[in-house]
Amino acid sequence: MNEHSDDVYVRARLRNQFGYMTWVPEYVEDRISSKKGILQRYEDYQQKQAKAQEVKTDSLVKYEGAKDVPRNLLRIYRGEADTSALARYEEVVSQKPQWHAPWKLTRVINGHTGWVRCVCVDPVDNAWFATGSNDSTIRVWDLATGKLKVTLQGHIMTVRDICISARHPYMFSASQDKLVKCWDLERNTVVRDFHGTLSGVHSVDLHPSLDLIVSAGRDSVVRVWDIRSRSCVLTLAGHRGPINKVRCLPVDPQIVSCSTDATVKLWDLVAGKPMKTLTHHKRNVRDLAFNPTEFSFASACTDDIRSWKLVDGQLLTNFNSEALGIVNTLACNQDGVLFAGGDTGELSFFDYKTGHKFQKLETTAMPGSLESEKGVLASTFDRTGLRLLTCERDKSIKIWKHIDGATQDSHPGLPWNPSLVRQRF
Amino acid sequence: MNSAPFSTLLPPPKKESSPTVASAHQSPENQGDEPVAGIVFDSLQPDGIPNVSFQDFIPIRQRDFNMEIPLPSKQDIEQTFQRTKAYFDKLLNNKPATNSRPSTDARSGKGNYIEYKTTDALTNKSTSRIIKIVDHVADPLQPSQIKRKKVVAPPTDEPVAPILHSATEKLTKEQREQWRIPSAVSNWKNPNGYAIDLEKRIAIDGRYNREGTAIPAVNEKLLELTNALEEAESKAREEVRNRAEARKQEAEQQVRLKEDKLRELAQRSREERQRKRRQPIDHEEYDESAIIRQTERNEKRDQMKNDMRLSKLSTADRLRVLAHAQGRDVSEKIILGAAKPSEVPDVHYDSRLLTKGAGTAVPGAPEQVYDGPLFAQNAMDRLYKPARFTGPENDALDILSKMTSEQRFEDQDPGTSVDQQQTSPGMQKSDAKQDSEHDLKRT
Repeated sequence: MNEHSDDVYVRARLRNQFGYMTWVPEYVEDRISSKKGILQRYEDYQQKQAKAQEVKTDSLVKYEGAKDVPRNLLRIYRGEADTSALARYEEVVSQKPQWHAPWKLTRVINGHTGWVRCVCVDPVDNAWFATGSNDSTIRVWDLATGKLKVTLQGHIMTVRDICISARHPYMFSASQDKLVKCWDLERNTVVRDFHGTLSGVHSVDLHPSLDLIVSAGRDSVVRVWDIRSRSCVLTLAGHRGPINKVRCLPVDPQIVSCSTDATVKLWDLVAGKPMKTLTHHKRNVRDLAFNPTEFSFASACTDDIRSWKLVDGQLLTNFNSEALGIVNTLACNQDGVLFAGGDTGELSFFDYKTGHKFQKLETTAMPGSLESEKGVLASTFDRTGLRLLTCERDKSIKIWKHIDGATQDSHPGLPWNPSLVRQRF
Repeated sequence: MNSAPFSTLLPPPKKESSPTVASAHQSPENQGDEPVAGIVFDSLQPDGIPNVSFQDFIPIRQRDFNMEIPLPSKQDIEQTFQRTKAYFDKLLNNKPATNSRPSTDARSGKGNYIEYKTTDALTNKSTSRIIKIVDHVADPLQPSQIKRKKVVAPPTDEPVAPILHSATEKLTKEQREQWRIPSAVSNWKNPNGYAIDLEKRIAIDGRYNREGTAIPAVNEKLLELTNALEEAESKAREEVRNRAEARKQEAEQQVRLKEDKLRELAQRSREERQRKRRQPIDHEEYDESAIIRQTERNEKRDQMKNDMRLSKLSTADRLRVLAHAQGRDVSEKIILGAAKPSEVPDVHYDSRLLTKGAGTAVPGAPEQVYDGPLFAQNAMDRLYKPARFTGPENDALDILSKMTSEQRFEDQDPGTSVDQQQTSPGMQKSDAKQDSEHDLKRT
């Protein structure tokens, strides 16, 4: 009796006085575990699991009970086990790129007195295209003949982006003078100014189904404007640097923007916040281009081009883009050709699906222009995808076409030797 | 959970809520069992920091190359359109149009009418007015007057997007060195007078490399040119030296010849002299009076020549000569009468005041007995004032002639001659003459 009471007393005393020393409170444990690596944490977790099985009922050590199983964690490790490097390499080697006809220069158009900064092809009948320039003018050219149709003056600084509506007779232009202008193409005059941007506007795009335009620029916010009332309906803040390009989609994510803060954001227009932020790029993301045949897009930063599956923004392809230099512009056509125009005047053509670079070209500098003026600033394919328009720093617009009668045998293109090395992080 | 009554000794947790699986990203997980790559939130990871898996870095095209990613269907587009349109309609209805044009009412002159009632507190009488409200006509082309504020990104409860790229490489030392631009230092301007290191000076000089040692390679042609120039120069120098040598030798030859001739002459004369010495000398009678006469004649001729010279001089020169003869140095200003005695101020200073700054050698106050100078300053000035030539040039000429004449005629009077010697300026001249006579006699 006495012994038993002593025993009980000792136990009670021990538990009451020193019990807190035998285990670490939850929040301290969390803090400790936050400093551990993921492998260590996994080991701890396994140990805990094992310990839970051999638990004794009368132990002094306090047992908290198994937490809910972190299934995600398990999945990660299982996934890693599935994809060994060798298996992946075999997979990659089996993916043969499609052959594309090589491109060559066919026409050079002169007329601008400044760098040509942007281009947009008429979406309705593919008959003309408009270019905006550092000389603050917008010029409209005939696509077939290359003749100047009209010069639109109204901006007072560089015109940075143009978009032409397929549903209205309107053209929208964004300029560094903080204005987005709406041009009536039937009368060739400005009909609306969209005031309110705090700094230069770098990009503008029209919503494909709604009467909204989206602009973004140096003030690092995306603005959504109502075309009719000219009011800024929505301001999407989130980027930490000037935004280079903003593009619209008919379904969510309805806005995609890329910025100098090396991120691409997919915006949920209704919620007014980014759905997803892509942080794979390391440097200023200068351009993005949608694929017209599949629901994905490509984005480019220095030495790095990647394509992304849309809606959820998963990494789709890593393009073969080492030592590419600064990429100013991207364009994609229906045949699965991705064009990248470099700051040093290098034109690279990629197979969109595999990311294989099949052709590399150098622009021909305009006679009389400086060596440093060799650079592609903007580019687009026409609606058929058979002509490529590039706007260059030597104040010219160049039109590129396929080489006639080229076959896979006569023009095999650059060799395809894939490596896993280019799966850079 | 029992957070233990015994653990009260430890500080309470700051955040009560334990990190759990982020609900937003877990929802697709619960629906199906298919693997989902992307951001995964780990229950063991605190503070909702998303966990990044290896899968995020593997392009999904590699896993399934023939993956079809269809463009959004018309139905999807329509659904999104409806949803977004509803949302934006709501937004636009709430929002006043910023640049709305003036209403048609204002333009047509119609407006809203409002009955405005007021009651006077004293009389308790109510008066009513009808007020027409018309929109102010605004220029439709005028930009918005509403000032916009910068949009500050609202705080979000969303998790931070994980950074999925590697950190940028640090620059190596070499690369950093390549980017280093030396500060601008000029070899010509240094207005603040800073001391500039020799290294920096060398660094500015384009001829030296970064280490400041090697001079860049010289063009081979330049080397040839310099060599040729050097050779030509040495050749020319050699030639010049040879010519100079020849000329020198010739000159030496001539000198030697001349010396020989001289020596011969000297020898001959010596022989002549010896021959003469051997012959007996016969003394000729010299007429002493003739010598005296001769000297007197010479003297008179000199005198006349001197007088002639003096008569040709201008007055000023003549006076200067006169003054010089008297042993005085007189400046031109005084001669022309342009000089004035310096004016002496009325205030007189104690000399000690002036000598105070001169140093310690000046005797102190006890030695200096007198406060002021012995003579009044005015008197001193007068004492040393030079006599003025008051009259015109004729007076000066008179004086001159008088002086010269005096000397000639007073010479006869032996009694006054002693005084004359001391006072008159003419006497000095005669002294000089006597000296010259002595010299003559000596020779």
